[in-house]
Amino acid sequence: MKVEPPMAKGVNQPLPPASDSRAKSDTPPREPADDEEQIRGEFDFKILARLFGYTSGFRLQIAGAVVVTLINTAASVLRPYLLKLAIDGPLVTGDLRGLDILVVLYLIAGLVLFGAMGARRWIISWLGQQLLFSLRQALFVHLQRLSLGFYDRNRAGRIITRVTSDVRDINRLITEGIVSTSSDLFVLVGILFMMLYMHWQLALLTFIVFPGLIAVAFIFKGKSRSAWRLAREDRSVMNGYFAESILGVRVTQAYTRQAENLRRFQALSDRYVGSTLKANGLSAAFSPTVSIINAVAIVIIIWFGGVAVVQDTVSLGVLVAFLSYVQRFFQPLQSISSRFNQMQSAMAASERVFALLDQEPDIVNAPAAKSLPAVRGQVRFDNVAFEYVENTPVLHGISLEAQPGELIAIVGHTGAGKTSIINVLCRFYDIKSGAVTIDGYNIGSVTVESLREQIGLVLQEPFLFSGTVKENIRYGRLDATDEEIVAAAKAVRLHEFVEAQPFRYETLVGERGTQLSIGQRQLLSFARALIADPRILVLDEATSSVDTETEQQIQEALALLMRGRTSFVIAHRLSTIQNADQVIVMDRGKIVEQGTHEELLRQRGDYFQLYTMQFADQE
Amino acid sequence: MRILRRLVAASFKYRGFALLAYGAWLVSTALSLVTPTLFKEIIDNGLTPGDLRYIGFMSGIILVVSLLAALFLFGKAFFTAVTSQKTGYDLRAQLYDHLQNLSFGFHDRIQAGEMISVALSDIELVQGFGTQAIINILDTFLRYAIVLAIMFWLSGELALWSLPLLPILGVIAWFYNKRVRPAYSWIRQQRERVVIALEEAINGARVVKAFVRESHEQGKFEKEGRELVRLMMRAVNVNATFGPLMNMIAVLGVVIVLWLGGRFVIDGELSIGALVAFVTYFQMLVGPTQQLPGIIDSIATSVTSGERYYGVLDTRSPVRDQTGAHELPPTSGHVSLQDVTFGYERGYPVLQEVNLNAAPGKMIAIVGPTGSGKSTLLYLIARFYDVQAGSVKIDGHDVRDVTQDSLRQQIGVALQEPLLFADTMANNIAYGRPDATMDEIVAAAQAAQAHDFIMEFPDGYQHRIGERGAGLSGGQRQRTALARTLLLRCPILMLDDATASVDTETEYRIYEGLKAYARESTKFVVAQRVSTIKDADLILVMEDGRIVDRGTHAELLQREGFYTRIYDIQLRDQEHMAALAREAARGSHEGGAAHG
Repeated sequence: MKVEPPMAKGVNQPLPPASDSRAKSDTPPREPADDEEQIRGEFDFKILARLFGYTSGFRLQIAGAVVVTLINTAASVLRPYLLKLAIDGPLVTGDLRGLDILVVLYLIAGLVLFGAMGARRWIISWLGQQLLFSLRQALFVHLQRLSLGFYDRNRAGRIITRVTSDVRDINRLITEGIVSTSSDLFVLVGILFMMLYMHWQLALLTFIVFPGLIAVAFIFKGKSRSAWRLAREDRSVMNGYFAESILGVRVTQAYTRQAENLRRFQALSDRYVGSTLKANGLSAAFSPTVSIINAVAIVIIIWFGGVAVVQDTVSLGVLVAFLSYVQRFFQPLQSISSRFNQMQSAMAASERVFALLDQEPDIVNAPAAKSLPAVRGQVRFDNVAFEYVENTPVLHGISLEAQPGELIAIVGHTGAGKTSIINVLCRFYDIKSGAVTIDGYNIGSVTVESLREQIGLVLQEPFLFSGTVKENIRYGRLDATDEEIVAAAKAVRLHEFVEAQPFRYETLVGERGTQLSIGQRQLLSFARALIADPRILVLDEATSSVDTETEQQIQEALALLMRGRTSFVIAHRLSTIQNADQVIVMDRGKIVEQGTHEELLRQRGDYFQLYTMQFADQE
Repeated sequence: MRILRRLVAASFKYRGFALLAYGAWLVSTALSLVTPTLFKEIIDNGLTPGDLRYIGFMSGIILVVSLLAALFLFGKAFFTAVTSQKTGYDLRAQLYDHLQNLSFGFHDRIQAGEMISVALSDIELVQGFGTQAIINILDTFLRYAIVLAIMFWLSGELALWSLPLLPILGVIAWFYNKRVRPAYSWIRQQRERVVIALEEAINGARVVKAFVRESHEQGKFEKEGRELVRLMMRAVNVNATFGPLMNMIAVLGVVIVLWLGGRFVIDGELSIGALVAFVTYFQMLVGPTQQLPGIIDSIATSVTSGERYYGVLDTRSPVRDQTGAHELPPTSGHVSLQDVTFGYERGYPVLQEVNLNAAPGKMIAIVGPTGSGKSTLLYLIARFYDVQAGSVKIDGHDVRDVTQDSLRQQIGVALQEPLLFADTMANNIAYGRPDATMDEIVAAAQAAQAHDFIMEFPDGYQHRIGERGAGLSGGQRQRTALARTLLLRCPILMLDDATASVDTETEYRIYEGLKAYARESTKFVVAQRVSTIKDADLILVMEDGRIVDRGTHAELLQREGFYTRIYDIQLRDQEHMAALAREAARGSHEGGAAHG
């Protein structure tokens, strides 16, 4: 589609006073690019050493895995040799007892081989699972310690990748990478040894095909891996477009764009088919190429070995054993090459995971922090300055005082610093200078836990956890009884709705549960805050419009929730503002006006401007 | 079976490629089965008598056979891939086209995620049915037939003694398959639970921290993690038991062959070459026997996936163009509803006997509580659903008699949920009219009050936004979506709560702008804020699917009904403010006059 670049005349438009365009300063910045994802795996022994730290509890099991692997290898390498012994011995001499012995040996070798194989598989998997679990748990515990600043800076998806796929890569490095690579090397060495032992001249001759096999294993495989990666990328682009189309199908139909969308989808689908076929082609060529190389080795053995057999310098059994060994070369070579690649990505994953584990939380308890005793709810900001990013102040010179039980309404344009006041009060972030005190205790000198226990927070867009309605309300106080939960739901007028659900308080909500309306979610988060019964309430009023009935319910529930608590409310409703003991008007990180609604209206200042401007030219 | 026939028919379109795949498969399997016999010949007729010429000749044959086998193996893999990929392409395109054209009624019932999984995995599972899956099955039988024949030819007695092990192996493989498949599906589900526990702790970090629930979350995560380990180990136990067990059975087979065959060789009944070949052939049957249950399962999977796929594809759209539907001629925008009754499910009417007459160029506002049927009314006009009784007419044409495309091209809808696409701002606005000029795009953006914030991006209209409009605020998304609608310049315009997240001031300017930008259009507006709809030519008050009151703002206020209640809650204070503002304006005038 053709769209010309925007013309110069558009640029001359005056900047709008519209609120959401100023939003930049009040929200913490995000990292611009995924530079972390760019890490290429380089070998670094420090990282490797640190990884092995996680295996310290499992040394014995690792040793066990190595021993079992050795047994496994020996049994596997021995089997073709037993066949050789049979062919050259009893089969020619007619020694029945010898044949029986060899057959029994063969049987034992088989039992040992596969017994060891099962044991190895079990030990490696067990080890891997324990490591995965402890690494995942360590990451989660660490994530819980990290402050909100970290979550603001990092996308959720990226953090999840750290804990899921990166940890899996590391696990693979330790278990498969180390244990299986050693096993493959043993097998390879074992085969080479047996061949050289039986007939070194013929063995060396056969090794001519080695460079070819190695080339196929490392170069061919590398090519096909990157081809498949391309195909996967194309597929995810195609699937992304498909997902977006389904999601937007109502828009598509409303704008009758079906034909154009289909054309685009088919182009993406076509590209995916193309790149997949390229990758398929490489894969399809792979095993025939290997078998051609093998055929060359076989012909070498048959021709040169055959001549030697005829001249009686080589036995028939050796020849048969050689034929069997030569076909076992390739497998270990191939798995070593594919693991080589895995190692690289695992190194990169470890680097990323350790970088995350090394992040220190921004908010830590002061060394001698005491727990904040039960407060009355007197809150003071004393000349507070705050910034998310250095030298970009978001709040400055903030001073205010709230007496226990007072309602403080904070108003101002988006980006004026309203949310930052809340963030500072809950100590999600540390201030730069000044002091925030509660009942005279500096919040920086008490433990974060005891501070937050006494503050109830209600977000603009309530977050619910997947689980039942009951569990979500109980989140506010884990030891709340069922009766208390019902009482809280009744108080915020959620009870009727809950009772109307088929499973009542056991109704599942959250991502996989019943979809609640925004109004219902708000009421639920009110109940959650109510049951926690904090002395201080911090509330970000929702802006999204709900229908008038729900609006009324919410207003009543709000009034109840705030009763008797010191409440800080980022206010969007006139009724809240009118009821406030103090209205704080903010602009560009400063308090520009302060007083009751009436006082401020009389002042005819910024507050008056803010609330009358939008209606002034309507008439 | 019907499903499988359809799947085969889907690949039949590429029968040229499919035939090549089948041909290459036949040749490559046959050649690969010949090789051990060639070895036998060399051992018995070349090496044992010491015939160098024969050894040389057979080496050559082996080389040629191997080369040919490799070539045909490649051909089989490649042509199979070509056929199944091309089939997959067709299946995807059909599904995509079908889904796009299924009406709202279908999409209401279906989760988007489910659809994507159909497209994503099911198609990849079934696209190869016509070639890959059938070849796999046939290959198993072909191998069995040929190898058994050769084994009996080599030594019937040896075959009779060793072959009974294969059914035992098959039974074990079947049990293994039965146990391991559900184990892995539990693991998948548990893995999802672990990720959800993680996701929630991250996305809800603010709540977790505010309530000091870090250790609570940790406990939840640990519980899910431990369960995952337990399930994994259960699957490992199955694997670590059955894998070696099946291998041991195979070993047992070889042992029997060696023990008995060795005696035959010593007795001179069997040549050494034949014994070696026999061992090789026996091992050749082990793989297919182990895989047989998996192959049978894969057919079952194909059937399930195929059923899901065709289930969606066979769904008939509830709203369809009638045979002989004509194009809606350019409309003046006259919309009328007569006794319209409608429900999303039978027996639960959402609209009842709604009557409405909207004259061209007028603005009709609709208010009422959630669930009163406001949006539904708009959907019926655009025929996203069909009425159950009564009729919707535009310029006298029943919407069911005209084509959907011609109808919707004349109706601009801004939906409640402003869904934007991962693309540039310009392309998003031009979504409904990819041929729009930049001037038109800018004009629409200006009317929707979106131009100014777009120009604040360093790259202006070329600014790319993320999926679903990520990177824009709710208000910005709504304004962009509105510009997209306005660009269509339709004779009928419908704004379904389309400015709810926009601040009151900007919303006011939008509606002011609309008066000029869409003067000719008939405008339907669903809104929550009374300030938005005060100027409407007609306000419909809806409750429980009925229009309970209608009139202008002034008329409705006089009646002191539902409308007055909303007005009281929402607007009285605002009016109060406006009065203050007027006073202030007057005051400053007077003040100015006094100073002057």
